[in-house]
Amino acid sequence: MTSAICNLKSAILALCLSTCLGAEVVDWPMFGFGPQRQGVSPTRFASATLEHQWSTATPRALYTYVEGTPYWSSPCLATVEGQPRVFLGCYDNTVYAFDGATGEDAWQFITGGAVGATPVYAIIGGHPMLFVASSDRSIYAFDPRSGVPDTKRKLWQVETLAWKGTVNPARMANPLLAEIDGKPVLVCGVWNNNRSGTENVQRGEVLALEPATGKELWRREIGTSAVGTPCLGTVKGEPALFVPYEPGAVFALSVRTGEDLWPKPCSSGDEIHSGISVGVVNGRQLLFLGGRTAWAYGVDAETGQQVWASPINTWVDSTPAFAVIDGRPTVFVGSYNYFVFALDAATGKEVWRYRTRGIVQGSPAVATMGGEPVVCVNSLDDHVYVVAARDGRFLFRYDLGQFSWSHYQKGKTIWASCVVGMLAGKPMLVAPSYSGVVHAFAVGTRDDNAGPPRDSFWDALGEAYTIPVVLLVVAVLVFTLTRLVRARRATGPPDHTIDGPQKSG
Amino acid sequence: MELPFGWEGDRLVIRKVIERALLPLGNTALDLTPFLMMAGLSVVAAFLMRWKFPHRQWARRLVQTISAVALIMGVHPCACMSRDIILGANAMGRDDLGAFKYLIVFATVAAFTMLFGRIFCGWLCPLGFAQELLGKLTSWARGHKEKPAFIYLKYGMGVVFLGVLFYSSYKTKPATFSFIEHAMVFYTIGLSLIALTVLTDHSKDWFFKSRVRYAILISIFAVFIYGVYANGPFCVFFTAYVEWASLISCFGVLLLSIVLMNAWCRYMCPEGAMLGLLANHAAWQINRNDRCQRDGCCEPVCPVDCIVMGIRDRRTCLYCMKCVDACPHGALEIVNELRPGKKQTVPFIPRPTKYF
Repeated sequence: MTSAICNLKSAILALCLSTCLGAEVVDWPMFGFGPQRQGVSPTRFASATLEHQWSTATPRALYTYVEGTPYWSSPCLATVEGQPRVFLGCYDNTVYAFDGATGEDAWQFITGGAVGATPVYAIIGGHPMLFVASSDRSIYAFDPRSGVPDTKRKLWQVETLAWKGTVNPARMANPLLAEIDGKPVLVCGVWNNNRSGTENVQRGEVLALEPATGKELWRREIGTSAVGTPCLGTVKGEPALFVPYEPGAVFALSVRTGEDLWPKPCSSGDEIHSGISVGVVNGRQLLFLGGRTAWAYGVDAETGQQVWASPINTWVDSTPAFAVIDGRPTVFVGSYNYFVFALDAATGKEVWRYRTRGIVQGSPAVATMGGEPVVCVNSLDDHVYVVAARDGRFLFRYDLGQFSWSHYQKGKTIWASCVVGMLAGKPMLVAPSYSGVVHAFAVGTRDDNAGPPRDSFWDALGEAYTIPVVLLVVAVLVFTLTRLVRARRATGPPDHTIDGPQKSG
Repeated sequence: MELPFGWEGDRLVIRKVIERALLPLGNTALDLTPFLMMAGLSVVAAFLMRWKFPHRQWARRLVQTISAVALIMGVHPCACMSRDIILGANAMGRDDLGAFKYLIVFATVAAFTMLFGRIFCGWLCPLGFAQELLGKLTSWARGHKEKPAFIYLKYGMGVVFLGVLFYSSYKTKPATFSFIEHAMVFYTIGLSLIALTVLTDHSKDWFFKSRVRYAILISIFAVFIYGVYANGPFCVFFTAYVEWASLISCFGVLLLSIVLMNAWCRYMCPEGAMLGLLANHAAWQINRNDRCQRDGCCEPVCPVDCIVMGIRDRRTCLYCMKCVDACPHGALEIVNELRPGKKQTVPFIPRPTKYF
């Protein structure tokens, strides 16, 4: 093997063996665990009794929410030369590397824009490398080892659009690292836009780069709008990238050349903000994605034809996870109606649903706890949840802290997902929070389970701001009616008749 | 056959009959269904407005029914024009495809409004149709305004309404960190207060229609500019799923239309307020000619009370043509004011509390 991508290879191997959930893999090297984005890690926890291990320091404060600004990217877990590391991008333009054992800062690198895309870790040519897509329109490669001077941290930088005064921050999809014909390929979806009237640019495209040098292999323009997180599969034996396009289409591109593999893109009818995952169901490769048409879809990867559509009844922006649970291929989807759905991957029929108390926008992560497959998910009710993958039974919940901004724009921001992996020799659940810190959990003696959420009447009222509003309304109502009744008593009833004024005149 | 409506689990799901987009554009396909429906139905409505025939109101009902069915079953995106204007304006120059998608519904409706007046409100709007229909079916309630039964109904309804909204705001717990998410519930509470005030003192009708409505429009724009995904009673007709806030708001609006015809259209509807500004200078206007006997026969038939002392409030008029059909002298007619010499120079509506 000329270019050894050891971690990536092990991840792909683990995916192949994901049905048995038996192999031990250390890392969560990219978004969705592997290039198929299935979100399944073979990590085994001894039990679901989780103890809070560490949390990181708060990043630099940003008091203003800007449309679409992410807080954290989803984490990337890796062991770099024996040192456990958690890599994340942040809204403060910084790429963070935290110590996986303690949560302390290992190193930081400031880019020119917010980093919402999950970093990718791999060993290229025997050297560990970290790839990061930043909204400063650039893709970076870093040396992720500790002790490297800041001036030598950056290995290369590829700018996808030159800076102008009218350029907006780019929207970068989570990069993907694949190995094609024995050679690694780094793929990233980019949406650049320059609002200038004379040099207007609106370009959603997919770039393939050589990871070692950053040399561009090919570049394929998809359209004028944003491109989502690509995933890797095959079409007629050809390695294929499945790329969601935000206005409502999925493209199948050759990883080798970037050419279309389907006669025409698959159209969903409405916007797609979710990523895509790939899974094999009954010998047939299916794509799983959600849409803003309130449906989750299963699409035949060979033809681009829809196989099933399952009603979720609201938006689905989270990338579906795919796992085989007790012999049944299952898709796990988070939705805006607070539910995590488990759908039969072959038919789209609902197996179970679990209701959190907030929007589930992050993508589910599947692991094993106490011999039982579980689904871990971040919810916008400030908690991370662990539920049983078989039946949606509640197992664990932890308060990650409240939102540190005053508001956000619904549907404009993709929030970080939680991930599972081995850090410092033990299985860990890592959950970034929009309160400003990243939390890590491992099996311990203390049970930090907050218990299942309860919908007490007063909690709900407090959440809804209902009491002050309704009291105010009742007060205004009483005041208005009292005044009107008094005025009516003083002046008599008003003359509403059409002829009244004419007669009086 | 799969029905367009059905219960899935614990929720009502509205499936759209037309699933595929129509216009290939920018490497994707754009759903032109709303544009084609709005344009086609507006042309039909304009033709029926201009053509004098005895059963025009029945024809209007038919157009409203077709429009409601077509919009509910065929249109995917929400036709929330206020939000779409802001999103579309924000996307211009960055994402023209998105801007086109957001603005196409408003652009179509606005263009037809500038030509034919608030044809959308009077002939096509499903919420207006539902309110009008319910108001018509319950006209007995408003026919006995002086009887104690009506007064009890009025205030009883107010209390029940607040109770329902209280419960609903519990039920619709906000998904974000601000209650504005489901602001429409609170707007509907405001509407109930306005309706009760107007029912108590009808002279306030003008104030709410001419002042508060535009304050509501500004506040809605402020909400959208702030970036909050506020919904409205309208949303329940357009989205592929049912949100509790919009469903409850829709229920509240319909309930209010029993005691006050087209209550939402009069005082709250931000889209209506926006279109009213355009309709003020529309080409087609309903004007009086010299056959007018000043007998006031046009005033009581107006569902939004926009004719006072024989003068029509151009910004509130829904172009339902009820006044034209009700006049036995043929004194009201559609006039194209773009043609020279046809513009009627009448003073704008005086405050109705001051009769002359």
